[in-house]
Amino acid sequence: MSHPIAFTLSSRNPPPNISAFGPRTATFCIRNIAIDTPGMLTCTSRGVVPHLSHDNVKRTKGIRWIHTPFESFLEHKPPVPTLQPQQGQSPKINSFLRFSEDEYVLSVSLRDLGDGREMPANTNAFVTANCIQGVRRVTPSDWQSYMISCNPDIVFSLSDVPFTPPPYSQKRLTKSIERSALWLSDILRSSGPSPGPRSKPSNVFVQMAGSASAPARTAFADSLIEILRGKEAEAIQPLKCLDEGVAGYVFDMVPLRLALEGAGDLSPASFNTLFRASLSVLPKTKPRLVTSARGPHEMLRLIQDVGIDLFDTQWAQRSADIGVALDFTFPVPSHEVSGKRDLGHNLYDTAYARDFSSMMGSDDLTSGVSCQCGACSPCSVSPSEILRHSSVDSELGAKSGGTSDAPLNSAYTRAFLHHLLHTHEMSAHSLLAMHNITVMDGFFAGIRGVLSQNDLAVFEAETSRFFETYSEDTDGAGSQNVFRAAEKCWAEVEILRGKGRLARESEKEKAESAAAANIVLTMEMEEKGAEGGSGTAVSLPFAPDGESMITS
Amino acid sequence: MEFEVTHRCSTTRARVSRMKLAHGETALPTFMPVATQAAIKGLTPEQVESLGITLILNNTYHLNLRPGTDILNAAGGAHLFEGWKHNMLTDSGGFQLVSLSKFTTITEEGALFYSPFTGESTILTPEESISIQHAIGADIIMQLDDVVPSLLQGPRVEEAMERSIRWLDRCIQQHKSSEKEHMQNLFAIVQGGLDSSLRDRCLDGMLERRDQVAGYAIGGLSGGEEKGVFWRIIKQCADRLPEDRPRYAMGIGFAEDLLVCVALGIDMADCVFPTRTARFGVALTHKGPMNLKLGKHAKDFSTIDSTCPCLTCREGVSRAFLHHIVTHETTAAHALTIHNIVFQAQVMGQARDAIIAGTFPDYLRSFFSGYFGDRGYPEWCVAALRSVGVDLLKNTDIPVVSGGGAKWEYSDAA
Repeated sequence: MSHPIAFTLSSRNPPPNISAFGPRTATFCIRNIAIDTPGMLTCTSRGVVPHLSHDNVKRTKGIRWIHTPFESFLEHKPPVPTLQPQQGQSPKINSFLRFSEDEYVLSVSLRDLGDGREMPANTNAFVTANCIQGVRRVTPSDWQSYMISCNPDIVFSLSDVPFTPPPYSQKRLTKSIERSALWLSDILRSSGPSPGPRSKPSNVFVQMAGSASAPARTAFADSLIEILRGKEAEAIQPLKCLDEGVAGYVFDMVPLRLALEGAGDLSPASFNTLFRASLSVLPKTKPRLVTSARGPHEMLRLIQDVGIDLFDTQWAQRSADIGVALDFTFPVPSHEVSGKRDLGHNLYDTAYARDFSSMMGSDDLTSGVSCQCGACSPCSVSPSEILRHSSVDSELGAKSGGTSDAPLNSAYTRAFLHHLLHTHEMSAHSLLAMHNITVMDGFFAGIRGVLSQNDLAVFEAETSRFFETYSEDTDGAGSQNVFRAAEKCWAEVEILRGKGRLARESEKEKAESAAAANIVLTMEMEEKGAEGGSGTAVSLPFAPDGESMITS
Repeated sequence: MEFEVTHRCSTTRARVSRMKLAHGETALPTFMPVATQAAIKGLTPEQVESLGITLILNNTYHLNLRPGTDILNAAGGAHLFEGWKHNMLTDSGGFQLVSLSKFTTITEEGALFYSPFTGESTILTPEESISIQHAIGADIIMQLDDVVPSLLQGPRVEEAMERSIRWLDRCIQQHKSSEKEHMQNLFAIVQGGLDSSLRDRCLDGMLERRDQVAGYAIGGLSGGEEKGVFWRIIKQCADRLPEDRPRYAMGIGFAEDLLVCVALGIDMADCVFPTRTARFGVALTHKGPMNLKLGKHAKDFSTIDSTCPCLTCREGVSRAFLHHIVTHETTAAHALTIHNIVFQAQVMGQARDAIIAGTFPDYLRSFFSGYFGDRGYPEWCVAALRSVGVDLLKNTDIPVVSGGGAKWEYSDAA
C-alpha cells in the first residue's frame, strides 16, 4: 500500500521565502495524519520510545511521528519485524512495534542517527551497522527487501556516512556521495526478484551527503536532480532523476558536528553554509528534516537561516534520561525578567528536594501556560476504563468514584522527581520523558504561532529575545551547566544503584576484606619481626585490584 | 476502618470482605503490589490506578531514609508526595532488620540501623516506627516486630516473638496518643517462627489486644522454609485469628501460595516477586511463569496471554517484541510489570467471584490444573487444600510431585 506524503507549504510564509532559506510553515500529511511544521519527530531505541509504555506514548500528544533505527533488529537474520504476520492493511513494522498507523507516522533508518561512535568502514557493497551482537553488514538489496517487507511510511535511503575520525580526504568524500547516490537509486529501483504492487518503499528520505565540504554537498545535491540516461535511467524509470523519488531531505547533525569539530569550526555560520550548499539546487517544496539538533537555540537558528521543517527530539529525550526537566517556552512570556535562565532544571540538585512546584514551576501561574504532559497535568483514566477484577470491584468503583469524567490530578512535583531520581526509580524517567517531549511540542507550536503572523521581523525579534533569556545548553562549564551537572549526578547514582551494582559491591567487598586481611597479616609479621628481631620487608599475598602491596 | 465479611466459601475457609479505609474501599482477598520507594517501579500512579489496583504497599525503612519524614510532612504525607489517591499500607521497617541485617543490631529499646548511605546510626524504636508511619500517612500501618530469619531456631526465636508482643504494646500506645487513630489503622504481626507452640503463645498474647488493633498479619514466613511447614503455620494462625479482622500474610506472592492462603482464610498478601520478576523479563501466566529472555520467544508473534485484560496483552504486544526489549529497555519492565500486576489481581479477583458464586473449590481445581497440569501438583498444595476440604486429585490423573513446586522457565531446554 502506498501512502504518499503531501507536504503543503503555507501560502502565508514570510516574504524572504524567495531566498529559499527563510523560516516557513507547512503541513505534512500522510494518510489522515497531519503534522504542522516546524514540528518534530520522536526518537526510539530498540523500537520503543525510551521510558514510555504504549499508554504513556498515547498520553503524550506531541508524539505523532516516530522514528526507528532498524539496526537493533539485525540480531536475527532475517530481522524479526520482517517475519511479523500481516495484520489487515497495517504495515508490518507498525504491527510489530504496536504503533497504529491511524495515529502515528513511522519512519525507519538503518542506523541510529544520534550515534557517532566509530564504525568499521562501509564498502561499495554494504553499510556497517550496530546491534548488540556486534557489527553487521547490510547490503542495499538487504535494505530494500527489509523495507519492502516492513513497509514503514518513510524509509531513509542507505547513506555512506564516514564514522571514522576526521578529516576526510576528497577521495573519501567522493566515494561517500557516489555510494549514497547509488544506494538511493537502488532503493528507488522498482524492479526486483519479486515484482508486485509493493515492490518499492512508498516514501524515501535521503540523508544529504558531503560531510563538511560545501562543494561535495552541492555535488551530491546535483547528482539528485541530474536527468539520468541509459541503464541508470532504466533502473529507476519512470523517474527521470533521483530527486523525483525523494520525499524529503535529511541533515544529520552528529556526523556533521564530528567533521566540523575536526576542522575546528563549529560556528552556526558554517552549518548554514553547508546546509545551503545542499539545498540551493534542490526544490524547496520538500520537507527538510534535521536529526540530533542540540537544543532550541540550534533549532531556532536552523529554522530562521535554512528553513528547516522538522527536528527529532533526541536532545530533549536525552535530557529526560539524565534527569533534566526542560522549562522554556517560545515566545518568551513578556514578563520574563532580565538575566539568563537555564533551559531546564537538574532535578538531582538538592535544591529541589523540598520544591513542591511542578516541573515548569511558577511559570504556570504567571504566564497562564501550563504544561499538558502526563507529569504536569496527570489525568486518571475514566472509571469505565479502569480494569475490574471481580464483580464486587465495580460496586466499589461506583461507590468511591462517583464522577464519570476523568479527574485531573495534582502535578508531580520537583521534590518527588528528585526523590525518584536519587532512588534510581524508572518512573522518574517516564515522567521526565513525557514532560520534555511535551515541552518541545509546545516550543514548535509557539514557533508556528509566531510565524503565522506572517512578519519575519516579529519572528526574528522573538528569536533574539529567546537567545537573550535562555542560556544555550552548551554554555557554561562544569556544574554551571545544568546538562553537564545532571549527567554527572546521573552517572553517580547509576554507579551507586544501577545495573551491575551487586557485582561492583562484591568486588569492593572482596577488595576491602583483602585489605583487612593484609592488615592482620602485616601486624602478625610485625609481631614476629619484633620477636625475631629481623626487619625484612614483607610482601603480602592478598592484593586488591591486582596490585601487589609492599610494606616494611 | 470498616471491615465486613460479605461472603464465605462453604467448603474452605476463604471469604470475601469489603474493607473501607480513608482512601476508599478495597475488596478482599487481594494482592498488594509493592512500591518500595514511593513508586511501583516504572509506572505512574495513574497507570497503577488504571490496572484496578486500590491498595499498594510502601516501605517505611526506605521512605525514612529517602525522602525522610521532614519532606513527607512538608508534602502532607506519602499519598500527596507520590500522587497516589487510593489505599496504602506501610510495613514497619521490621522486615529490613532481617534483609539488611548486616546494618542492624536489636536491643529491647529498638533496632539500631546503620544507614548504608551515610554510615550514620539511627535507632528504630516501636514508637519511632509508628511516628514515621504517621508521617507517611498510610491507611494501614504495621507494628514494629522483631523479625528473625524464617529458618532460625533456638531461644532467639522465642525472644523475638515475646519482644514483638511487648513492642506491639508500645506501638499501640504510640498510635493511641497520636491524632491519627481515625485515619490510620494499626495491624499486629504474629511471630513465632516455624514453631507452632511459639505461634500459639504469640496468638494468645496478640488476641488479648484485639480491641486495640484493626487487623492481624502473619509474619516471619516466606523466608525459605519448607512449604509443608509454611501452610501449617498459616492455617494455625488464620484459624485462630478473629473473624472480624482482616488477615494479612506478609511476603506471599506466588500464585499457588496466594490461592492456598486464601483457601486457609487469608485476606491480604504482598510481595515484590511479580514486579521484580517482571524486570528480569518474566511474565506470569495461568500456565506458569514465562521467561521472555529465552530464544524460543524470539519469533513468537502471539501475545503473552490472549485472554489477559492487561494493557500489554490488549495492545497486542508480541512475545517476539518483548523478547527484543527485555532487560534492554525500561519499557519492557513497564510492559511486564503491568501484565504481572494484572495477573495477580486477576487471580485474586477470580477467587473473589468464585467465593461469591460458591464455586471456589472448582476455581482452585481449574487454576491448579492449568498451572501445574504439565508437571504435577506440589504435594504441599494438595495437603494444604485437603485440610480445608478440597481434593485437587479428584477426577484427574495429574501426578503429585514433592518439593516446593515453584515453576520456573530457566532455559530453552526446559
